[in-house]
Parts: sequence; C-alpha cells; structure tokens
Amino acid sequence: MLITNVETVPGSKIIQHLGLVQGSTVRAKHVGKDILSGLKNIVGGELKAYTELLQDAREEATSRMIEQAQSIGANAITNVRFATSSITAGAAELFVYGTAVIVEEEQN
Amino acid sequence: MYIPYDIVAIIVFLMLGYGFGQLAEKKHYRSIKQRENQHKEILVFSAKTPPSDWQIESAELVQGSVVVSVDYFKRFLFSLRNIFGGRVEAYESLIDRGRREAVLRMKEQAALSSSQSIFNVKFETSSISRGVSSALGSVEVFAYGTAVKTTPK
Amino acid sequence: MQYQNPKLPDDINVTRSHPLKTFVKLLTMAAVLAVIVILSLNLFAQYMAKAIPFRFESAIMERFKAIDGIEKEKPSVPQFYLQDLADRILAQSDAPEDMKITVHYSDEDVVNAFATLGGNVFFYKGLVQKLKSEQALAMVMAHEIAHIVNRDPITALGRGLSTAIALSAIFGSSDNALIRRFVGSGETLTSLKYSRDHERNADDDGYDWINKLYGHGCGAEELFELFENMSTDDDSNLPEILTTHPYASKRLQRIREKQDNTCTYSSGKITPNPLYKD
Repeated sequence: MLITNVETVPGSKIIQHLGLVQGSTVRAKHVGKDILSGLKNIVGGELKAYTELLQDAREEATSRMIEQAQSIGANAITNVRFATSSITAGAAELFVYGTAVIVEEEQN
Repeated sequence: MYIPYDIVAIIVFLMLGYGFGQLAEKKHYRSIKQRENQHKEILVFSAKTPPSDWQIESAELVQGSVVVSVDYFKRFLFSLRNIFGGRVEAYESLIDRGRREAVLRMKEQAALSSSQSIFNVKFETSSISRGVSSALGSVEVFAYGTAVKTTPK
Repeated sequence: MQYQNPKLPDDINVTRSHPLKTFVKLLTMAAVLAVIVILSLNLFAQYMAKAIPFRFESAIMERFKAIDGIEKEKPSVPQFYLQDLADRILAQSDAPEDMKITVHYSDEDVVNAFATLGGNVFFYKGLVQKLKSEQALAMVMAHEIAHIVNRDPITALGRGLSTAIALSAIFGSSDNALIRRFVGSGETLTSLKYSRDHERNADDDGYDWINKLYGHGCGAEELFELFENMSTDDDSNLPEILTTHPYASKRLQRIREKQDNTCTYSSGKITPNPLYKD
C-alpha cells in the first residue's frame, strides 16, 4: 500500500479513484502514566509514555484505513491527513483519512 | 434492613443507559446504512480538485455536522477504562456514527444542488464538554468539502 | 481515469466486542486493584506503626494539647482515681518502658471512653458513673490501654491516610460517582473490619490484664451487659459489617467464655466502683 499526502503517487499513474477511506481509534491513558507524567510535568520535557501511546494509536488508525482501502481493491492512498482530538479528559481519538486509488507504474 | 439507595439508583441508571443506549445505537446504524445506500451515487474524495477534463457546471461548499453524546453506561465503562488505559471500544462506535452521519448530511446538502461528487473533503472533531473538563459532554463531528456538478456529456 | 465509491465494509473502525463483557472484565480488574491497594496499605500501616517510636506519637500530641484545651483541665478526684487504675493495669501489660498513659476525665454525660494518639485516654462521667464495680471500670480502662499498647490509633491513622491518598490517586480521576462510591464503600467496610479486629483484640488483652491484676476476671462482664442493654433500641438494625465494634452480645459471650463460674456478687471477688452514682 502506497500512502502519500499529495494529490498523486509520484512515479505512478492513478487510473481509478475509489473515494474516501478512513481509520480511527479511541485510546485512554491509564492512571500510572498519569501519575508519572504529573511528576515529569514539574521538570518539563518529553512525556515518553504519552508519545508512545499516541503513536501506537495512530498506527492502529492507519492500519484500519489501509484495511478499508484493501477491501475495495485499492493499492494506494493519496491526500492522507491525520487528526488528533481529545474526546474527553483522558481519551484521545486518532483519525486518519485519504482517497483510495488504484495506480499503475508509469511507462516511460 | 439497610439498603444503600444511592448505589441502587446508580445501578438503575446504568441499566437504563445500557438498554436505551444500545437501542438508540442500533436504530442510528440502521438509518445510516439506509441513507448511505440512498446517497451512494454522490461520490466523496479527499483529492483537492476534480480532473481537468470534467465539464463543471457549478461548485459550492457543502458541510454536514452532528453532535453525538454517549449514554451513562458507556461513560461508566470509560471511567473504568481510564484506570487501566487502552482502546475505548465504547467511544469508537460513537465517533464512527458521528462521522458517517456528518458525511451523510454533507451529501444531503450536495444532493440539493444535484451535485454528483464532493472533493477535498475534510473533517473536524471537537469535544464540547460543558465547561467541566472531567465530565464527558459530547463530541461534534464536522465534515466539509466542495460539491461539484458536472454537465452530462 | 475512473471515479467511483465502492461500498466499504461496515465495522473496520469499531471494535465488535460485547459491551457487557468489557464491563464485567474492567469492573473485576478495578475491584482486584482496589483490594490489593487496601490490603497492602494495611500491612504497610501496621509495619509503620511498629516502626514509629511511641515518643513520636507523644510529641505529636504535645502540639495539639494547646488547641484542645487539655492543659486547662483541673485535676479532679475521679481523674486521680482513674489515673491510678491506669498505672496499675499498665504494670500488668507488656508495654514498652517509655509508654505512659495519661487519663483525661470529662464532666459530660456521654456513655463513652476512648483512646487516642500519644497514650491519651478519655473518660466521660456518663460511663464512669454507670458502672457498679471497679472491675467493670478496670475492664474499660484495660481495653483502652490495650488499644494504646497495640498501637491501634496510629495504625488506623496511617492506614486511613495512606489508603485515602492512594485510592484517590488511582480512582479519583475517574469522573464516575459510582466507582468512587464503590471504592469508598470498600474502603469503609475494610476499615470497619480492621476496627472490629482491633476491638476484639483489645477486649482479649484487656481481660488478661485485669485477670492478672485482680487474680480473677469477675465483674468485667458488667461493661458488656451495659452495652448490650444500650444497643437494643437504636442501632440494632445495622448489620455488624457496618459497625466499628463487634456486637455487644458477642463481646459479652466472649468474656463469659473466659470467666469461670465462681463469679457472683456474693463471692466477694467484686469490689464496688467508688464513682458509681445510682
């Protein structure tokens, strides 16, 4: 699966547009991370636990989007955008969407 | 006999929340599927522009939005989940419903001008809790894009 | 180039697990976590209470004296009498050398006595004047001294504080009243259980000491008879699990089982309480 966030897949030619595909997941952080991060907040810096949590979730959202694209026979996704939103205190939604397309290699 | 009335009340709320929440969700999904089928002729893309060889008659901004809220049971489930962390199953279907509903409403608007496709579709999701950061209010899902009407060749 | 929107499969973006299953799983996990926290902090509190020297307790209480107005207390006859009784009982116990009991006597009609931090024992006129025999009064005193010797007040304090902090750190952030209520109830029920255990041990130890002091345990039962008579009217509908003390009837029975059957007023073993007022 080729994924880009531009209109095209460079080096390939889009032969079919299959429409919007999207992947999303909602994740909650746990109390242990909260307490440690609370301490970390005193000195500042990266909250590694949260970075990992959000990255994990983003990967899952992406794989769900790919699953959707595969199910309709696409081999690439263009114009991909990520969005993170906090649903409520302690939970975040990771959302990714793009256009599923079928590409073939450009003949030179 | 000692009866903890507050616990009884909360359990009743939980059961009501679960029953009506599941019912409402099933009903909403049924309506979503039915309308998705109805509007399947309107195509949506996140690509920025339609291809240059299309004969375009008109283009307009269309949008759809919906505010959805979870039931008492799901909120309870979330507060438990918040202790251990991980995937919040209960909210995933909420967001899924919201997003599909927003797209449908956007499509319904496009249908008014008999547009056939919508380009450059974007989403916004925001929580609009009523000033209380710890209590879940509700989530707004907003979808927008440019509806394009092409002249039949 | 072709443009189309094939139908997408339905449930890729949702997890199809039964919500009730998740509910039961999470609830069980939360309950287990709460139990682990409460039990381990109790062990911690017991360990800490033994590790904290008694003079620290006294030092803490010194600071509160000014606030409580204890220092303004005028020495009275009942207080001297009770203090002497306390010292005699303490001598029978296995208390450490530096442990000192300070008896306070209050002129109020409350039927109560209690022990608190720093070896301070409070007696109310209401209780002192209700007991006919010195042995029953000694039983109250021995019971309260047992609390001090067993370090119950500081254990309860340490357990209460540490559990409250830990549970609010873990469950306090959850925005649901039910979880807080459940965890709160669990905490209350366990602390009541520990409280009843403390009371039972204090009864046992106290009885042993007056047994040593007088050479017999007669008269001790009068105290529990009094409690039993008092408890029948108002809080009898509360199950024992919700009470700080075991049922008075059970405490009475426990004492009777220890006593031999030569205990009667006519046996001459029981001496009158000089503070008794009919």
